[in-house]
Formats: sequence, structure tokens, C-alpha cells
Amino acid sequence: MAQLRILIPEMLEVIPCTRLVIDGLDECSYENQKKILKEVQSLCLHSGLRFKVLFSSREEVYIAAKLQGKPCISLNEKREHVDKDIQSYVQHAFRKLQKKFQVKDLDEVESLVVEKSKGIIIR
Amino acid sequence: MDAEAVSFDIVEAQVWRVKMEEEVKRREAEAKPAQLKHSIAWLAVDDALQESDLERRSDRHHRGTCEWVAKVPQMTSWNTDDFKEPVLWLKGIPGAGKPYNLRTLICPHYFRQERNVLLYLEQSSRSSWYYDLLVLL
Repeated sequence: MAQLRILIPEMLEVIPCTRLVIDGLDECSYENQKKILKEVQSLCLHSGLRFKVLFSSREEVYIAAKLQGKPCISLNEKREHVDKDIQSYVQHAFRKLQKKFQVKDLDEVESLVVEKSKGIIIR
Repeated sequence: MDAEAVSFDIVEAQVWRVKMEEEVKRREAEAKPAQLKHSIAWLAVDDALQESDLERRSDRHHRGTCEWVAKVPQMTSWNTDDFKEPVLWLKGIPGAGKPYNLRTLICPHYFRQERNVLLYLEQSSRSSWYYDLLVLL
């Protein structure tokens, strides 16, 4: 963390338009979540630094409070897209199963899997 | 005569100062590419490894999926190089596991574009942070 605190601002000064991607923030400890959000907040307050940061996480209470008001994409609100992606993947996986096990009619099972997934993809 | 000598000294000092300032600016400008080169060398990133890692991350998504994300207005705005709001939050369903692997969600669209440095921070399975630094020059 200490290294990143020094390294990132210096990098951002030298290299403009950098993208920072912070994935799975909710999977960190509460302490780390606090630290990271605080560090990013100070970067954002640093005038003259041109960069963008993308957080990906579940909608946990602390994170939601800290990122309130920031632009967000809620996958929960994009269910039609998520369901289509799930369907596409399930179809692909089922085609492979059909081929492997010589099973004939899987359409009903496919639809059931997509419906029951409720927009959650866990591989 | 003394007054004349003093004014001459002042003018000379001023000229010297301007010259030194210009010299410093010139050296700083010259040093920047070298500094960047040294920083990258210090980071010890292997180009070949980076490229294959990027391929691997980009191709993990099933063809045709995740493409809708690039068209969401918040995403296109985030991907614009400006001084506007830097933060974007991609949020999943509460308490239900991460619906998408972020790398596969955005890799195909964004990491292929011309970017200087990509710093990807992700929690490792052993609860200590590791970061992947992809340097694309």
C-alpha cells in the first residue's frame, strides 16, 4: 500500500489519461476497503492529474456510502443484457454437452438454467 | 560610475538567471523520457509475458457476451480522456457473488486500445493484494 501511495501519483503525473481498475473491492477486508477508497479519493482531489478509475464490487454498505453519487453501472438494472449473456454462454455450453453425450432436446433445460440463474454468473 | 557598474551587474544577473531557468527546463524535458524508461525498467515487466497475459484475459469471455458494456453511456464517458468525473462504479448484485469477471468484461474493449500503462489491482485468494502491471507502449 505504501509503495502504491507513492508510485501511483508519480506515474499519473508522467503518464496522462491512465486508467486504474480496482476489481473486487468488496472482497477486501473492511480496513483495506477504507484505505483504498481514501487513497483514490486523495488522487481525485489532486488537481492536474488526468486519470480515470473503475471500481468493481458488490453493493456493500460501506462502499455504497463512499461511492454514493458517483456514476455507476448496476448490473442488477441491466438484467436483460446479463440474461442474454448468460443465455449465450449456456447455449454454447449445452451444445457441447449435447455433442458429447448425444442428448437430443435440451432447450427446456437451457431456459430453466437461465431463468434460475437470476442474473448471477458463477463458473 | 559605480551606479553604472551596479546596473550592469543587475542586468547581467538577470540574463544569467533567465538562461539558467531555460537550461533547467530543457534538462527536465530531456530527462522525462529517460525517467519513464528507467521506471519501466525498474518495474521489470516482460513484454512477451504481458502480451500473452493480455490475450488470455481478453479471450476469456464467451464470444458475443459483454459487448453491451462498451455502449453504456457511463462507460463511454469514463473512457473519454477528460478532466470530468474520474470514478465509475460497476456494481453487482448484493451478497450474491460477482456476476462478471471484470477482466473479461472490459478487457476485450478497452485494453486493446492504445494505453501507456495499465495497473490492475485485484485481491488475491490469499487476502493480500497483488497487482498486475501491464505495460503497453
